[in-house]
Amino acid sequence: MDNPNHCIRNTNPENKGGRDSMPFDVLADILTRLPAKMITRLRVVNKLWESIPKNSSFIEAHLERAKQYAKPFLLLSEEDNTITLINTDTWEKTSMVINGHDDKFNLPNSCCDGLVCLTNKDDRSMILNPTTRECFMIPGLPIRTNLLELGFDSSSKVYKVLRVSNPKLDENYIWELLTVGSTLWREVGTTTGEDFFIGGIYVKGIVYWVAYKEGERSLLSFDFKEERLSSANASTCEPLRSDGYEQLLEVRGSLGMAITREDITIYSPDEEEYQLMEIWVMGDGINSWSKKHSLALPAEVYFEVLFLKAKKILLHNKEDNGLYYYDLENHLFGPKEFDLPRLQSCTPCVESLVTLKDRFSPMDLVLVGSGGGLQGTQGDGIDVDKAE
Amino acid sequence: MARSSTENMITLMSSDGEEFMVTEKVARECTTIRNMLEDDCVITNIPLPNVTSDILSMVIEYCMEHVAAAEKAAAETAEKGSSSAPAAAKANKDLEEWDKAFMNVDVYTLCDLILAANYLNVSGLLDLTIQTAANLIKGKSPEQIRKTFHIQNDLSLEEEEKIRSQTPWAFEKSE
Repeated sequence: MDNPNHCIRNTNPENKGGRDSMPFDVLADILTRLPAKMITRLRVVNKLWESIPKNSSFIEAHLERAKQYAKPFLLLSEEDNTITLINTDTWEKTSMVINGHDDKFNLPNSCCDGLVCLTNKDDRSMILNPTTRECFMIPGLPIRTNLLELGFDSSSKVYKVLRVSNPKLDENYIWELLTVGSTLWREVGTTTGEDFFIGGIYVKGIVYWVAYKEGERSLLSFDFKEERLSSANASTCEPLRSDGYEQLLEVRGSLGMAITREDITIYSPDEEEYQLMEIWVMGDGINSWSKKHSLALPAEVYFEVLFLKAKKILLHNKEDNGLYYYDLENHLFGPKEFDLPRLQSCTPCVESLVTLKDRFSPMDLVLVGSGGGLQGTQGDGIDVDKAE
Repeated sequence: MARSSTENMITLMSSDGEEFMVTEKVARECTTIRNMLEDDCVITNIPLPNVTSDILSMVIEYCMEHVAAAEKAAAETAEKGSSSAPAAAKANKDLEEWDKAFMNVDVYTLCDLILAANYLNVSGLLDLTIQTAANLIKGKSPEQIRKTFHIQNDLSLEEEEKIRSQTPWAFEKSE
């Protein structure tokens, strides 16, 4: 077909018969359906394709789609200053090196819009977008940080960093908040050393933990918009009434809690032992929970739930360090999908083109290079487009 | 549900002057037309200067198929009091198959359909055509994209080099 009027181009000199070039919005909609790396690489197609990935509404729409697609990436922190990103669709690995820092970084349990806060043992903290490798140093002097979480305040449209620190090494833990773009840490509360909490799962503007105090469990949350800490015990948070060990996770945009029951053992027809894991999902509020899935998993193994993808759940076996799917439709476990290089935790993460460039000074930029095993293709213009 | 004989008919006129008679129900699948009808309910003749007859006939074909599928589902629900899940799943699958076959078009037609679906605001068709275009782009190099879609490269070599150097990670191979 030889038709001179063509569409996905922004200038159309032979425009006739009402045919038009592809509008920005339509091309942007097409691109939101592609992986971030591909979109970024296709910026060299022409000026229109170059401009779209910089557009803030495009970045937002792309992120929304990535979230719906349910976290196909995992982040790992290596022994040195390397962060590895694993695509769970293809099991492809890409590594990046945080320049100027030699130590291993601590990763959070979840990401916020594809961004993560990193800390190392020197108590330097930064915000990294592992998709685009944009990384900024969080302002403020190094301080003994026990916890660092990034969140988004949807009413003022700003990212905020929550830090819990113990500067005097005493009983008092200080909760402070920094609005990304400012340099001022504001105190928002204190807790005592008796409170011990784990989890740190960020879901829609709120970060949640399970807290332990005097043998009692409660669900603790910090709202980045209200800037307020609240807590709910087993009387309002139903899953905490079950006997078993719990893990928080994100389930398709809602908070989830996986409870591995210690009081129940399942036996298969051939007498094999299984443990029961129940996955609860929170509804409108902390007091509305429903049990969504029940999984029969091999006994005597500690599993960490990573994420739900379509009708499967990805699990991390902490004994053999393998990743396994559990098929929710047919209740089938395994086989092993992937071997993690060493015993470590991994952070589920979405692809994101979100940039904090306008919020930080170029002075705060931390250079991120390519990790080991990769050929030096930086800026040499070699196309590797057929790789995907 | 049989089509009632009193149902309003609307005439759609393509850019090349061809007239298409469709039921109001089919025409209302296009949000742009629905809005026109709601503003002025006596309108019966709508010129569409941005859509050629070959593309308009395809848009109408799509709308008719989807209206018929929705009517069939509604009729089954009314008959049995509730829709049976396996039957609904099968109907959905059939419609998906129909959509897939409908998208078996060349890249020019696809782009024209996107523009028409965008202009007439047929959300289902817009989503379908845009996803088809995205699948077509997947895995292609910038050069292949330009060739497939006949896009002129308005970037100079220096500009292209600068864009590449801003995001070297995007041009790297994964392990």
